[in-house]
Amino acid sequence: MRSAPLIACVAFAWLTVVPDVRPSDAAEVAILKSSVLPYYDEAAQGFRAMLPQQVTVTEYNLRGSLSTGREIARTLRADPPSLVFAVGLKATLAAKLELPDTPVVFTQVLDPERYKLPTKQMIGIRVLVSADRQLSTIRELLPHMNRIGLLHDKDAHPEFLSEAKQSASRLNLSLITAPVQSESDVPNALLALRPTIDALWIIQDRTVLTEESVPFFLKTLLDAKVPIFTFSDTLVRQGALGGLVLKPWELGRQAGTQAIQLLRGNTKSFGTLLDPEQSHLVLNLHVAAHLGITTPDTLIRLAGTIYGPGTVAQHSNRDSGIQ
Amino acid sequence: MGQAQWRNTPTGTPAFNKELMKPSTVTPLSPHGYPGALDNLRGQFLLLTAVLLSMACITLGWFFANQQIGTITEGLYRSGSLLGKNLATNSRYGLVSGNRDELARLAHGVLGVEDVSYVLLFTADGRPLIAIGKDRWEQLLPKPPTVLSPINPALPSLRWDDTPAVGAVRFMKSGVTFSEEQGFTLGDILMLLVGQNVDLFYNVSLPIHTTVSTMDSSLGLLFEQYDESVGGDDTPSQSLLGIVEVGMSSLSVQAELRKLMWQAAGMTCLILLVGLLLLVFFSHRITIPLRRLTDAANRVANGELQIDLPSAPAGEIGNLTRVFWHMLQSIHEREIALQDLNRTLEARIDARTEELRLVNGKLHELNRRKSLFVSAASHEIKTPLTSITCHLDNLLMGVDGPLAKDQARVIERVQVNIGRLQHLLVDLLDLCKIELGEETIEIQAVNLGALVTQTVESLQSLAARKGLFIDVHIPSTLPLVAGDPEKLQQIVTNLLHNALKFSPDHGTVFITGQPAEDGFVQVAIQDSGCGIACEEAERIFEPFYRSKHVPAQTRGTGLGLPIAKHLIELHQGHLWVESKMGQGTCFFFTLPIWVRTYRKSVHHDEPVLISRRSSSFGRSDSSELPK
Repeated sequence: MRSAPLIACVAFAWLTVVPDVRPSDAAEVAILKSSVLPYYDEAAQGFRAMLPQQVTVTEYNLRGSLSTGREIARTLRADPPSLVFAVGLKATLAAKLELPDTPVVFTQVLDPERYKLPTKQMIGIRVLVSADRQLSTIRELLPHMNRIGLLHDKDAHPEFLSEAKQSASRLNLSLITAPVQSESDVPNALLALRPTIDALWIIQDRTVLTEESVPFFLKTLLDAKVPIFTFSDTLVRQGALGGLVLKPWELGRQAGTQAIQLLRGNTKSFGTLLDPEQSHLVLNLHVAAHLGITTPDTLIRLAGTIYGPGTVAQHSNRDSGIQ
Repeated sequence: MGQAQWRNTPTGTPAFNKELMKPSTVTPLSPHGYPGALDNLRGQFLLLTAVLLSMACITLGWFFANQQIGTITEGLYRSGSLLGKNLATNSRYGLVSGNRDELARLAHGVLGVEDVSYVLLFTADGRPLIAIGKDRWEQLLPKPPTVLSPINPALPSLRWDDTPAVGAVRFMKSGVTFSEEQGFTLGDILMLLVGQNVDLFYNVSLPIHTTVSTMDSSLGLLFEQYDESVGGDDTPSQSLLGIVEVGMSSLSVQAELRKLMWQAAGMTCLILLVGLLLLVFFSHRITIPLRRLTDAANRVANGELQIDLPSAPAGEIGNLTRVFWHMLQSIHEREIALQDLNRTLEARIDARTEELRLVNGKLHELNRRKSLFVSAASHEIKTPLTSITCHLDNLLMGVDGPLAKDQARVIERVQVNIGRLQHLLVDLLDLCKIELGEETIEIQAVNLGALVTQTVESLQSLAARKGLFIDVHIPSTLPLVAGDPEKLQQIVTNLLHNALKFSPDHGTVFITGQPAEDGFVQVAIQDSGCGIACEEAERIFEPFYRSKHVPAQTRGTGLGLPIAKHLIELHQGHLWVESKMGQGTCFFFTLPIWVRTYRKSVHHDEPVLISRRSSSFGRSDSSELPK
């Protein structure tokens, strides 16, 4: 009887230390990556970080080849994993084509609707900050500027543009859109748009934004002292005023959360595209100084990355996420 | 000290000689003539040093040249890489826009650099855009859009990072070849040495990337996934816009390398020359004194002691020379001393011999006089003793009246002692006669077996008193011996008497006789007494010698053995003893076998036929025996 307290302590420690292992946690997950790119790796790492230790994770790399991805997926079909995390368009397409019955969570796909994604066995994480969030940030960053210009492919992004217009209206912003038909129309469209706007909002439109057009945009608008708000850290560094940027690791982490839900049998999110939960504000104070814009302190505090005098370092340790 | 020069003066005194620096004639060490070039020390020094210096210079030169080749080649790589990177950066927009004129302008700018031989620009999928070159490359490179493959065949499948891909390009008979081996081969270096240029170019390949950082996922995805054919076959990464290849000529490297090699060869020759000159100088300082010393040693070996020694430089050679000089001086002094000694030695020996002869004569005279005195004294004593003995006999026989018992016992004791005295006198007389050379023997044929038997019978009473057994083994076939029967009996009596005297009670005395070598007969008389020590084996034949091992109660004159030895030697025989302590003693003597030609009488003054034989335990000297 003297050992009763000891047994009780051991039992308590066992119950405290040993985690709640569910059968679904001991599942097998396959990660398909479209290519050898750092942001795909980061997404995969974020995904892995969310999984329980009991989950067996196997990683495959398509090395930019869809056919390779389909071969890998066919191999997996013989002994399908509990879940597939697809990173990038080609990996997601390979999973869609070869593993139709396997639950798939994907991210890093720029325009999923164009490829009829997601299917009913899939959950997707967008790589696009919602128009409302972006315009809200523009509103905060440029409180005295109302005319926001937007160049876009005339056939693309109808839903996004509709959402943008509604948000602009709500935020008392005047969204001046300039549809273009091809890349060659962009310079003229920009030159025509420039006098009519206070700021330019650049979205992920491949017709508008090309290798050739990027320097043109930056040079033209910096000369005209028109601020640019965009989605890319690179563009902010090269001359845009600010942007809301998505971090691949965060997208992977969000995908991981969804994967856990699926493995535990919660399939109610199947077939949906989820907006990213977190985006990071990037500011270029050099550009702000050049344009004569005073950046609100609240935004500077919220910014995840700041380029500016004495602020070369990235504020990676701060909680800079904008919900 | 180093300039001191030594020589031997005619008087053997060392003196300085300043004229001895001239080389002296060197006697060859080898019998077949002067040594060959590699047989002497200097030749070996020269050869070894030349080999070592050559190896060191070649090794260092090769190492230095390799280092320089590496450095220069590395510089060429860097130049090519910088030019290629610059071209890749500047040509991005031209590639994106397909502006060939802009690309050509940029490529010609790079081609203007002296070491650049060609510039090639390809799209990401390997389609040629720009191909321009200088010299041979100008004719070799076709103008796009002619089909042209990248110089580096691995380029289309290469996974690019920031490191340029560098390889060597050569003109061969089969055309242009590419290899990843970038250094100069041995054949290339030989060609350079004979003044020919090598067709070697360094191809530096670099990717032309988009301006989008690979870390920017948003922009990266935008450019990557906007491809209509994404659902089809493999597509290259959109971040790679194209490939630039810059060919760097190695002519400047070759010129530099050729210059370096000639410099290294010149330095090698110079070092070799200086090294050999220094070696000749120093080896001269070492070997010349050695050769002079060798010459001097040879002359000394030929008996020439008054020679000029080579100069004595400082160091080991100088020490050796000085030591040699001291040795030579010492030899010279000893030579003179030996000559003096030789001159006086003969006279000294003669003088000493004369002294010895005189002393010997005196000793002989003294000995003779002593013997004469002893003989005369013994003779004079013997006569009254004989008379005393007669009177004592008469008294005992009662001629002068009867004696009481006590008186008779006293008289008998006196008679016994007088008998012993007479015996001693007889022995002394015998010994004196022998020593005075007056002893003569009458040689005749003697039957040794009968003589021994007779002697044994005469001593049987003595043996019976001690319970001794005398075992005689003398074969009847033993040859007759040449000797005086009376003297031989005296010899056997003396030896047998000794054996009986020293044997313990109830023991056995063995007498054996057998033919010996070279016409002799050997007789052995062995007792079982206490034995004779080894160191006493010779001394027992000296007169009056008494062994320290003999019990005190054992009586004797100490003359029996000397007399027996002298008598045996008068018979040209030999007497010796063998003994072991505690195991008895055996006396041996030899006598010549009787031959008809043997002389009837032998006098001791006549030439002795048998050499004296020394006796010792277990061995005997060889003898010269009559034939």
